[in-house]
Order: sequence, then structure tokens, then C-alpha cells
Amino acid sequence: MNFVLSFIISVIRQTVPILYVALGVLIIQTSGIMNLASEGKMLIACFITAIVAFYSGSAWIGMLAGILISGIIGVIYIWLIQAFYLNQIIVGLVFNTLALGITTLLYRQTFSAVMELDPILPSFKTEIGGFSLPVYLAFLMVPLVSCFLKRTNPGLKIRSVGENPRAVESMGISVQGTRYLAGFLGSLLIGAGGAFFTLGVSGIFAENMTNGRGYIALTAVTVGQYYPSGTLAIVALFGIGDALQYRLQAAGTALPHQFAQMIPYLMTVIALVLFARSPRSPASLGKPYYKNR
Amino acid sequence: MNRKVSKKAIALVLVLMLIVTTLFACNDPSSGPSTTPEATEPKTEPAATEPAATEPGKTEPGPAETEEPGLIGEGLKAAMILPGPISDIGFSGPAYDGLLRMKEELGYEISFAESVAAADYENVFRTYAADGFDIIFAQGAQFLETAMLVADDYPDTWFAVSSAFATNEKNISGWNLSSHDVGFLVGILAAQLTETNKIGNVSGAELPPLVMINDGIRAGAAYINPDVEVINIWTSATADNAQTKEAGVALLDSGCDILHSSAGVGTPGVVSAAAEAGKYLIANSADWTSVDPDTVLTSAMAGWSTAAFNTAVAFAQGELQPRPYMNGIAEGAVYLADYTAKAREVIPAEVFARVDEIIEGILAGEIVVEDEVAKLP
Repeated sequence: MNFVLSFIISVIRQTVPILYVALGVLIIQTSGIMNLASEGKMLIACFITAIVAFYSGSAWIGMLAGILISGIIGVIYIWLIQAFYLNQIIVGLVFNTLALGITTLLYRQTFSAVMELDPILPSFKTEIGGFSLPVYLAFLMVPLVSCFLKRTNPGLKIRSVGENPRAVESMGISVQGTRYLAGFLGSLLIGAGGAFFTLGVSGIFAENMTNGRGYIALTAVTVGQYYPSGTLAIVALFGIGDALQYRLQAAGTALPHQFAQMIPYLMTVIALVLFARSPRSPASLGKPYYKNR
Repeated sequence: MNRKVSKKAIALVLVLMLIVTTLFACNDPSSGPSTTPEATEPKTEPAATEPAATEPGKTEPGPAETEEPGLIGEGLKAAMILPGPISDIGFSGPAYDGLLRMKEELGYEISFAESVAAADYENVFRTYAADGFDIIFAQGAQFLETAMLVADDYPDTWFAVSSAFATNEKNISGWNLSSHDVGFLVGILAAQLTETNKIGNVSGAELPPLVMINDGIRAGAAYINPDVEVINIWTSATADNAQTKEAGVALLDSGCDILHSSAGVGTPGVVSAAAEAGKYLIANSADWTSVDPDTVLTSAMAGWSTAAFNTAVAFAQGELQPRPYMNGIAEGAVYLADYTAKAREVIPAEVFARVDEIIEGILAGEIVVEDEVAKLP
């Protein structure tokens, strides 16, 4: 029994940060902007959270800082894409490289100057049932995001802009403005993912600590067919696969460790094959929107 | 019309900036925050020797090489290629420290490349060789293949690859740590401390040094108690702390009550897993005790810095042979770090005594680690 509980805790620990990020990506991509920069935004949020939490001594303040800064960066990111009609894939990838470079540089200047080794960061004090509050909030976000997109006015605008921006413009609604909103809200969530990852899962900041999780979030959104619940399912699948591969290795089975390491990726590919038949990606995803043509 | 022109101008300026920065990065062989182009200051004090300690458990490491007065490395250029960042305190960092010592104590002119990806190996080697570096260090067995490829084209350049067990016998040498020794030290301590007879090991990628550390642990454990089991989990070369923590938790769940980490930068994750379960951890390569002195008892120090430095000394003296060089317990490159206060609290005196006894046996040649490893099934 203990074993099962521990396994579930592992899965949740892996899933929650990516879930936040994936939900954020979902909102942004629903509005038609591709968000390959999720990796970089998450990493920057990790770093800001680490710095603020360390110097303030409070996990919540650190998380708040990470979320807000991430939101601001998200808005700047959307501005770059919209104002200059840039290729969203390239901007995303370049942003990730920039984020890695900047966080590594700043990390070495600040933390390495302060201490010999990475300082341990403050953690979330309140825990219910062994999990800190952000964990519950993450799962709460799934129905919240779903409700937001389906039943609120801004949510409707975001979805419409993703499907047919031209029609939305003719109704007098600003396409650019809606995408800014989606970018801001989505980046807040991505920031929450990065912040929780640093404080609630890792406990320290390490260079390149996100290590591809932003891309996993992207996959989850696509394979989850742009449903928040689908996103949760895929993220959880990856978390289960990851937790499973370590337990398989620890159990000392005859399975070569390379196969065990393949498991999370294999599960994702299988999910992709099974569920990506009719992709529900927004029709205007990735296409730059020219206002007056 | 105006808007289009100014956009083109911006684009042009940005592209020019990109080109200029790239040219700068490529042309400067001494790139990297640590290198200084000016001549080194003369230093005549010998390299510091570790002071002899009388506290239980600490073995005096062998004396470091003392260099002659005047800098033997002056006029020589050394480069180092690292697989990870210089802030990695387990592997790339210590090697980098060795490079710094070459500059400060021997007068070498240095340069380094960090976090080099496999696709760039050949390019980096050739660039340094073409830039006239006299000796190129590479930290990691994964560099050997490329070094063998490139070395023939640059017969006047020396290539020193770590964990290299074969060379081209012309201009490649190996600066190796006896990873068996490292693991052995961990094994003899951990096997005495485990009550469930299971030692958990979280390793990085399945590369020879880590395989050897694991074998060393098994040999050390078997030396103390043949019933002790060592369970190993392979993560990956880029495993982050969250993943190594999960691996640590998995090991603890399957009954291990003492952990070891060969996961390099991922070590804090394993420490975290141990701390949460109230168990202890023995680290390796660097002194990880400052991460959590209540959890990390000690560390089997792997003196990559010493090994690299020794190679540089031999090279400057013209005595470096194109063969693998082993640095282990006997050479003073492998030893246990200072025990933390917590360690002294929880480890019984007999355990310390036994560890010291075994280490003395190794230094005296009575116990041969390689033989112990060979006995493994």
C-alpha cells in the first residue's frame, strides 16, 4: 500500500509543474499563437522564482514574482510576434535559447557568488494531505480553464480568434488585443508551473533545469486535442511513465535499463497515434494576422 | 513605404550584429571568463599539500606535485573541453579547477569550452589544435573516439582524454581516475551502515567511469558483507534533480536505506530524496556535504583536478607518455572527504576504524581494489 501511495506521490510531483505549463500553452495556442517558447518561459520563471524566494525567504512571494514576470514576458513575446509578423516557430526556438543563456549567466553571477553550492530554497509551508496548495490548485485549474474557454466571453473571443480571426475582426473585436490577453493569461500559468517546479519539486535552481518539460507540455496540448482534460491525461501519462521507469529499474528486473528509460516516450507516442487522428488545433495557429489586408 | 524601409534597416543592423558577434566568438581563442591575456605573475610557493589530520576516518591524501621554482608551463597553451558547465561540482567543475591550477601554478595560457555537445566534438578539437594549443584536455571517455580521429592530423598537438583506457600511442594520453577506487571507498562505508543490506545507487549515463564506480561499490560492499545488495538506476547524462529525486525515491521504496549518487549535477535531487526519508547519502567526486550536512555523510573525492594537473606537470617537463595514467587511492587522487558533524554522530567508532584499516591496507598494497572487483560475479 505504501508502495502505491509513494508511486502516486511521485506521479503527482512530476505532473503538476508540466500541467500548469500545458494549460498555459493551451490558452495561448487556442488564440492562434504557437507557443514553442514554453520551455524558455518556464525556465525564466524558475530562475526569477528562485532569486525572489531566496532573498525574500518566502515561497509564495517567490511564486508570485515568477508568475507576474512570466506574464509580462508573455506579453512582450506576443508583441514581438504580432508587431513584426514574425515566424512563430523561429521566435519560440530562439526565445528558448535566449532564456537558457540568460538564466545560466545570471545564475552564475548571483548564486555562485553568494554561496559555494546551490542554496536550498524555502518551500510551501501549508500542506493538506501531504501536498502543498499549488498541487490542488493545478488540478483545480483544469475545470477552471475549461470553463473559462467555453463559457466566458473572453474565452469565447480567444477561441474565435484562433479559428477565424478575420470574422472576429469584422465583429469589431480586436484580434491583437485578444491574443495579448491569451498570451498574458497563458504565460501566468506557465510561470506558475516554473515557480512550482523550482520550489515545490526541485528545491533549488539548476542550469537548464526544465530540461525539455516545456516541450512535453506542448505535446500534451496537441495530443490532448486541445481539451484541458485531455491535456491533463497526457501529462499524467508521461508522469506515470517516468515514475514507472525508475521503479522498474529499482526492482532489478531483467529489463535492460534502456527499455525502461524509453517507457515515458513510448507511452506518449502511442497516445499520439491513438488520439491524434483528427487534430483539433485552431485553424489560424501559426499564421500571422495582418490587420488591414 | 517609410515603415518598410525602416524595418529593412533594422533587420540589416541586427544581421550585422549577429555576424560581428559570431566573428568575435570564433576568433578569440582565449574566450571564457577565466582566461586573462596578460602574462602570469611569478609564483614560487609549492602546491599546497593536504595537512595530516588526526580525526578518525580522514586519510591523508598523497602529496600533490610540487613544481620547481619558476613556472614550467610558461609559454605553453592548454585547452580543456568539458561535457558540462564549469559550475558542475561533480565532473566538469573539478576538471576546470585543474585547468585553473595549470594557469596559476604552472603558467599555462588556458582556454576552455563547456557544455560541448557531441555534434561539436570534432569541431572544437580541430579549432583548438589549429589555434596552436600545445595540449588539449577532454573530460570524459566519450571524447576519446573523436580525439583518436583528430590526433593524426595534428601530430604536434597533445591530446589528453580522461577515462581513456587505450590511446593511439603517439600523441594521446589518458588521465584516468580509478573509479573502482572511488566506488570501493563508498562501498566499504555504506555496507557497514546499511541495516536492510541494500545500497541504492543513482547513476547518470551508462559510461565506463560510472559503471566502474558501481562495480567499485559492489566490490567494497562484498568485501565487508557478501550479502549486501547494490541496486543501481541509470538516469541519463542530462538528468535533472527532479528525475534523480524520483530515482532516489524508487530506490528507497524498494528497501534501500542508504543512497549513493553518481548523477553529477543531479546529486541534490538524490540528497533531497534521502533527506525526506530520513536516510543518509554518500556522494562522490566533489564535496557535496554542504548541500545538506545532515544527510550527506561524506564524499568519495575523485581528484579530477589533481589528475589533470599531474598530466600538465608531466607535459611541461616533457615526460608525458602516450598511455593511460591511473590516479587512485595510492596516488592521492581518491580519498574520503571530511566527515560532517552529523556523520560523526551517527557512525559508530568501529566503522571509522574499519574504514581506516582498509584504506591503510590499500596504501600498503595488501588490499588491491582491482582484485576485489575481479572477484565480482
